[in-house]
Amino acid sequence: MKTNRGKVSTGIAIIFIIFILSLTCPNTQAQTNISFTPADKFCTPENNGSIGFAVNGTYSNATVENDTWTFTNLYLTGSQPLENFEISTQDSNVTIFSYRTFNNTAFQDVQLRYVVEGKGKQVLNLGLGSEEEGWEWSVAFNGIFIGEGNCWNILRDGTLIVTGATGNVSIINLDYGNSAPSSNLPFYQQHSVAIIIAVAVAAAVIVAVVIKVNSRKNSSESELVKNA
Amino acid sequence: MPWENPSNIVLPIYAVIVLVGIYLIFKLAKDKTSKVSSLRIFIQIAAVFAVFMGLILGPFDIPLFQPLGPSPRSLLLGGNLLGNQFPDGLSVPILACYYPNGRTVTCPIWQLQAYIFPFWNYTRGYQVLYSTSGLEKIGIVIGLMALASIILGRFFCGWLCPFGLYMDVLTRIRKASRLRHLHFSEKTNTALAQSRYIIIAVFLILSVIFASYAIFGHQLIPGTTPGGPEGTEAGNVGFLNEPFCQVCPMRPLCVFIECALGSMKWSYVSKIAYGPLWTLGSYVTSVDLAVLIAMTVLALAYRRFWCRICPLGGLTALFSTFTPFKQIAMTRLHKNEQKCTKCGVCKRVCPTQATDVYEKKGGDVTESRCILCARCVEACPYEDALELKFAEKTMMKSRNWLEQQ
Repeated sequence: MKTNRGKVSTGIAIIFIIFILSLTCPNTQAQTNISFTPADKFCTPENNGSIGFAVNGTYSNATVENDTWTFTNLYLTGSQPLENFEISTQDSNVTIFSYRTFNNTAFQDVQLRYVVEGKGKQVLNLGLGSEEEGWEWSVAFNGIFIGEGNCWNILRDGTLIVTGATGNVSIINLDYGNSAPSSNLPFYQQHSVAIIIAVAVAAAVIVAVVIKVNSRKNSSESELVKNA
Repeated sequence: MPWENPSNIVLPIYAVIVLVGIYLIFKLAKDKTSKVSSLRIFIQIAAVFAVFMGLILGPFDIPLFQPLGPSPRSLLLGGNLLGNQFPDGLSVPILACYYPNGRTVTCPIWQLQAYIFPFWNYTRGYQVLYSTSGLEKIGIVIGLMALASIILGRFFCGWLCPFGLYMDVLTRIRKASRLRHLHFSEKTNTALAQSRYIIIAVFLILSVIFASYAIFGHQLIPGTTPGGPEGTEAGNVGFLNEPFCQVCPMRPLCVFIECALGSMKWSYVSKIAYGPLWTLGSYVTSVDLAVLIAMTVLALAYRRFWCRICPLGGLTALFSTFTPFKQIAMTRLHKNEQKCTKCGVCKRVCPTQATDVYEKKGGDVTESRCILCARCVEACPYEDALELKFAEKTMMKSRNWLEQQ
């Protein structure tokens, strides 16, 4: 009996370890990925520019056309994968540090960070698709946010043009999604927060009234006992 | 992976620290007269951490290169607690701004002003970014305020508000400097308490006036149409949508606390301020800094000065100490007529100079100026003369500390 229990425990432990490992290990990708290191440079000779990465990483495909590099399934160590990324640089060398996304229920936050040497121009497309209602872009040079139209512009197809930046550049996209109330949803789902708050207030009032009434009843009873 | 969701780890650790802290204070504080004060300051500090750090420290694997640091708006635990119907944080009656604390809790005064005034996006015009309308959100704020006030009343002011802690710290500094505090006359103190409602009314009316272009289609006063310097989302209109916040002393203090705790970087502040200190901005400006300095100086002279004129405190009092809410408020100060000798200690120690605790014969002595700090309960030398009750259960009561010593 003891032996069986030991076997079962061992089995459960193995399954648990496999489960934990499956959570921690990166997913095995079916397609072959090409590795790169910080030493690798992706040049745009006609535009006198180059692109590099500050960390090791992989991509499944990288092509250059009209001095624009297109990376497919780009993955930088410590970052999140970037499905389609286009970049071209002019009179500047770019070193990309990180690409991250943060998902909230109300909006998605996408951030790309890179360093520029030389006062040139960078044209980037993060593959987020064309400009949508609810998008908010911010660009910061060395930690200072720059107004749209001063040194950067966004095109309708989601392409970002940054000019004159040197040092650290951060590109941030906040996607609030479509702000229109989703009228397809039933009433209680559209207004669930308001309904929950109304119910909570009503419940609090009822509980408070019950407590108050009970307390008054108890105090009047005890007074009667005292008088008696 | 569990470490990608730090709330799984941070919340239990934080809860354990707070519970152990409370237990130790009760266990180790031999002097019963200082027990309540010690407990209160501990809970106030714990509340500051909960509010300003949003109880979160992650994600933990952010690379070192980050000129702006993680945006506090997107990483905090409380972020978008109620989904996109109400993503601005729970309305809790404590002074804690919208941006710095990352939407865990938010000052209802800001929320009321902001929902009167629809968001203005520089490139897209007026829009409410979220799925509920402004009016519904105003209803939610009032509902949450009523709920919080019915349950705890101005206990929030006395025990949880970060600005209350700031006022208490200033009082301790004054005491350490052996300076005496000043008193307002009863008439002035009453006038100050009434001024809270005038402040609320003025700023809500200003919100409607500034939002007139969005609400009615034409501006009631010139200069309230969208525009402003290129590169800002809102221009001047964005600053006008929160008129009270422009003079609120908590706003610059929020930024200083956030930066001190490391959950906000100065570079982020520079984005929000949109220019030099002396111009109007969202965060640290000459106006709100001047108000903060004035409140600091006044708080050194008069205990809890801001709490006497705080419009948020007034709003909380409205839902807890005035009829019909007074009848059902769950947290209250109770006086036992038979035990009271009218020694007047309660009146002298009250930081807001509330008088009902002394003048009323007995029963419920909670009034709109009372912040339920329990200082009177702590100082009263007569057994059971004063009690702080929650849901008719005694949470704290006065003790005969004269005999015990």
